[in-house]
Amino acid sequence: MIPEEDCQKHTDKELVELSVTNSEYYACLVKRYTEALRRYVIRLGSSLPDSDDILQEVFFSAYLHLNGFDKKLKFSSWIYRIAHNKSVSMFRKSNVRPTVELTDLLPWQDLLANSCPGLEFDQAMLKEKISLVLESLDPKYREVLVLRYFEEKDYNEISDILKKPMGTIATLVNRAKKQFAKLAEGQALNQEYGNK
Amino acid sequence: MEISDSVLERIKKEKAKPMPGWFFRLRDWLLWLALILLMLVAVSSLGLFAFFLSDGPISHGARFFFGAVFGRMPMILLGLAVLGVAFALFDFRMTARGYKRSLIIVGLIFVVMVLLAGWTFNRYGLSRNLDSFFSNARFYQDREMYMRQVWQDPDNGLLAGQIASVAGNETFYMKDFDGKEWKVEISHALRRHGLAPVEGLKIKLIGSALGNIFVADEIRPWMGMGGCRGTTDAKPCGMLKQ
Repeated sequence: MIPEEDCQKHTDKELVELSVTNSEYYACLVKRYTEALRRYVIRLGSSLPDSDDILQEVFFSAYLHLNGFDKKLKFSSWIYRIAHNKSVSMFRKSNVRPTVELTDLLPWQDLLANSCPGLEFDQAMLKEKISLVLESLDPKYREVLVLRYFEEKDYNEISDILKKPMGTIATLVNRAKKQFAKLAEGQALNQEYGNK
Repeated sequence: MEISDSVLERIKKEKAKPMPGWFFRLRDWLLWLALILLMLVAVSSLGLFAFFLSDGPISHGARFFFGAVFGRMPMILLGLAVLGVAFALFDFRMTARGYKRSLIIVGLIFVVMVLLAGWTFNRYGLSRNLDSFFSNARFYQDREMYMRQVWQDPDNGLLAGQIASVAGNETFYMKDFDGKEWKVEISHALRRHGLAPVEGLKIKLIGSALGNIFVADEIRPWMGMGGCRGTTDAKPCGMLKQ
């Protein structure tokens, strides 16, 4: 096992090269990305137990394809891409709609405030309402919002992860924000009627 | 158990190794090679399609024109050109950085490239060579039959057949594809590809018929330069003396 200090000395790309000849170095990369990817696959709609299975597959598949890693890309974009593809393929295989578990509310609250400035939710119901909005959101919109506002990826990285042109990503983010705002307004109206 | 430990354990247990680098390089090369081949298919199909149009007596009414555009072989060629571009686009999208470019823009670039190259292909005689190359192929017989129907129309100034004998530089005798004998005057005819009449040469003519005499305004080889083959002279007909 490579000591943690040794792992810290190397960049992602150096670790990729070292891992090709010595699989022990691969553990450094796995450790470096486990938590970020776990959060990501859960945000895409996996449950916590499923997320571990997906991560196993992601890291194992990435290991087999290490020599195919395009060095012009960021390693993080490449591994996020694999995680995205594995998650989508798992949803397809199990034929279940991804469920949204809100692990952190803040980015969605910010997005809500940003998209619908006048909208106010009862704080007690906020989490439930945002969950409902996210579950109704088209998955292709949800995934760009997750990458943009949770993973804080720029358009170039999102383009590399989803393998779509940057112009398409910008359009998707725009439409996603609009759909998010529309659904949130719908939820707000429901809440008003509920209160009356 | 940590994910890193379980992944390493699986790698060791399955004796997994990263796939070799050459596999990925080969895949990239094959994708680019396929892209070039698909574009070539599109260009040559479009070039041949343009040749069909330019080789027809378009001034002699709409019949041939519609046939040349909507006949089975031209439609197949046009379809091949469209399919070639579509698959080339799909192929481009699969290359390492292909997803970075907008499909609409790349598609437009491909279409313009194919149109320009197809036009050049036809302009510099490559389509004619390709037409000759295919002239004996079985799938091409349909075009031959169609061409015979179109050109066997002396009342409308179109005639085609094989030269039976040459009587000087401006007159020869020919048998059309229905077996009828004709005396052909070519003193004022435009000779495409510098064509000179030689015995056995298959030709097509544009002009006017008077009884069994045909006064030609234009004389062309039958089915491109391939029509020059099978003559008594070994040289291609475009090279013969006028």
